[in-house]
Amino acid sequence: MAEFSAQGKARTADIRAVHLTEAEQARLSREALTRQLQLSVRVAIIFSAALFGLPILNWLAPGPMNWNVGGFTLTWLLLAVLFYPLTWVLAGFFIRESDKIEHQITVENRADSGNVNQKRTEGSR
Amino acid sequence: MIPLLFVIAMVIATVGLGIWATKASKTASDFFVAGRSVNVFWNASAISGEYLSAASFMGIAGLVMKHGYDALWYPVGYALGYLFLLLFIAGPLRRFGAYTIPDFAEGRFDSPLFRKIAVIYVLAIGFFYTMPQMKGAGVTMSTIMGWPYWVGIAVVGGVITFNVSLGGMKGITLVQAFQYWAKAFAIAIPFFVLGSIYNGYTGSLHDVASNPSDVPRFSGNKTLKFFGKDKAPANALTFSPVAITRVTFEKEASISAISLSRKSEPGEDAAPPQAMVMRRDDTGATTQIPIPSPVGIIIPAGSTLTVTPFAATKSGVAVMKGRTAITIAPKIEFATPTEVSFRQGDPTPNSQNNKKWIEPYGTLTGKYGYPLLYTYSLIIALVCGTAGLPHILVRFYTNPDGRSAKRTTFWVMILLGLFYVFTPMWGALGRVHIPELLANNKTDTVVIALPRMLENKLLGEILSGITAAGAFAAFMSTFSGLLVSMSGAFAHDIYGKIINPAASPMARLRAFQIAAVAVGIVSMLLGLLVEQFDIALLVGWAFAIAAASYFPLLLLGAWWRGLTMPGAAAGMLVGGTASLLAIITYMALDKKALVWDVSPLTKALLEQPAIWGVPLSLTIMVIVSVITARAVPKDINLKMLRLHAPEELGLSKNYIEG
Repeated sequence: MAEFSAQGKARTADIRAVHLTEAEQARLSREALTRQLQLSVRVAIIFSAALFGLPILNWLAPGPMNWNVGGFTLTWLLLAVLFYPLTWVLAGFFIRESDKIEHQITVENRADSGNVNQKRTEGSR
Repeated sequence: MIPLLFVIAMVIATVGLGIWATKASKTASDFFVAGRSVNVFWNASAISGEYLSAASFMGIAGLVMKHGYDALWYPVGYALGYLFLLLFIAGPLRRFGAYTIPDFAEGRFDSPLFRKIAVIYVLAIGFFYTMPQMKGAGVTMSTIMGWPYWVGIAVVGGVITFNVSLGGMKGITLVQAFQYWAKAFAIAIPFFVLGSIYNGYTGSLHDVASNPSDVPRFSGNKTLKFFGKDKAPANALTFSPVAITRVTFEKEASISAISLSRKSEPGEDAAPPQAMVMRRDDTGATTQIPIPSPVGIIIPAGSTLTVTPFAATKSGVAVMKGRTAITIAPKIEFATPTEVSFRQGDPTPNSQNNKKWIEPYGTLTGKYGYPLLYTYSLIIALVCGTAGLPHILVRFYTNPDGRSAKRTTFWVMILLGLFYVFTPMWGALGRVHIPELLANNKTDTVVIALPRMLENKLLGEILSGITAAGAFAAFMSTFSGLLVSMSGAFAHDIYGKIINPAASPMARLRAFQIAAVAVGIVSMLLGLLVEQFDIALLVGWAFAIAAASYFPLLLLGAWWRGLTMPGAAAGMLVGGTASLLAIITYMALDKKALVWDVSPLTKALLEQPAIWGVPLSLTIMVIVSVITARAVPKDINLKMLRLHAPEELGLSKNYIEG
């Protein structure tokens, strides 16, 4: 049963990363976390501006928001139809940038540690 | 009969596919790992299949039909939660190798104790999520088969519980992917047919927008059943102030209260005597009924009540709101269940006018007078809550790595968007063409009931069969997924870790089966209590609890190295429990099981607690973690590497295990 067998994995000690020194672990984890977090927060801000801005627009400009646009009211069109593609675009952008960051980190750290490089070849399939 | 055949075909297809996929699991797994892109796409279908519950399939259409624009936040929030999941949770959690939220709780803090604490919300959120699935089952069966509400719950809940306890429906990718496509087909195809016969999505919206002060009118003579006092507030009939409404009582009715739809301001004149007139159809004798009336009025069978709206006046002078005079209509509450008839063209009771429906800040977000607060609280609950649902994270584990976890999330967002864009269409069409569902609070059944309005009865039955089968796919997949998550939590975390740590695998399997039956029965019993709550609202509450408990744990746990076990536990417990209590208090107030005179602001914050629950939980986590900073795990750098270092570096533990 899957829900029982997964438990073993959560406890397995991480063998390889231990080979990095404490200082290397700290530097690499901070670098990876900070760069990814900056990207996530940037996208989240754009997304939140749209999401939390729409109620404000509805509140402050009810007239224009209820204009007829192709049978919809403007705000209905924005919320019930156009919000979905907006999130697809943001998600696509995020994944592209996030992959770039991962790639850069990999390239940079491969160069300065032969150990890590060796692990990569074993780890990748 | 035709819808039943569709439903049975859906059940057989799902169970059969499950049995086949288990037997042929070798072939099936070959199929799914054949190529990365195939894998991501099918995995995304499976996640979407498990996620789209009765709330998505039936509830949103019903809530949009009832509340209009305000309810659009639900589908958008359900879908947009995945963007937050993508930005902050999906990649790190997959890399960390956490299979469930309790796994993450234990692994992140090396604390088996915290795992035991964390598991309680699997159950709290799970039960809130199973209640609306049960309601979906009850109302679907009562619509297509005419069964009483409880029979539908007992039969459907019983069948699914039995199937899960025997080991069926255990997160099989193929079955769940099939269910996504079944639901997408069932919501889209019948709509295209109905939309071409009636005048479509924008046509319905345009009808509504061009008559702003009107309400939906009965499309024919309709006989409707109403609840009694024990199901308050679903026993009320609030008449529309736009035109005269005539109600014929098919059976003797006992009325517990007659009041006004709007609270009178001080100094306003009493209702005129002709506002409500009862006429015996056999003798022609008429009686004027005063408003408000003394309690305990009996209306004999075969009487017709004529309800006439009247202008609000103060000493004979009209009360104005802006430039329009305010008109008022009465509201009656039934003491016992009854059956009444309405006439074609009369305004539908219990409905708001078109302008309020199509514009923001209507009867859902505006009901307490704090529409912005209500809207924001709802958005926060839905967007943050998605990441904390116990049955969703499990599926991300089936991705081979963090990168494909992100790609899968992206595809989930596309599949969900394609589905959700259809749900409000049903609400808009339903409001124009089958408004009687508004009168007796059955809007949750609109996707099944609307096709039956067609003149071509056979076509109507077939389309209704397709949507009923889609509804079945919805509550089967979600109820099964939740049952597995909750029973697994019982068997593994409560029985296997706390009660009997030395239990053999056989004993754990037995514990899982017993737990599945127990959880199934409790879910069915809870389902009986929620007949008059909207499905989408109930699921929204599960999100609010998840948002204030698990979401802060995952967010800070993944991104803040300073989070400690005591901090995470304190924030999760306080935030989650306070939100849960707020919601239960609101439900008790709404059912009149609890009488407590609270301000509208308090009531809004009780009904939508996320706006204070999520910040409360986050704040407590930060404060307690700072105080207990010594408890930060010693190998925190290693944990952060596991969460965030690219797999290509070969540092994450799944690669080590090969």
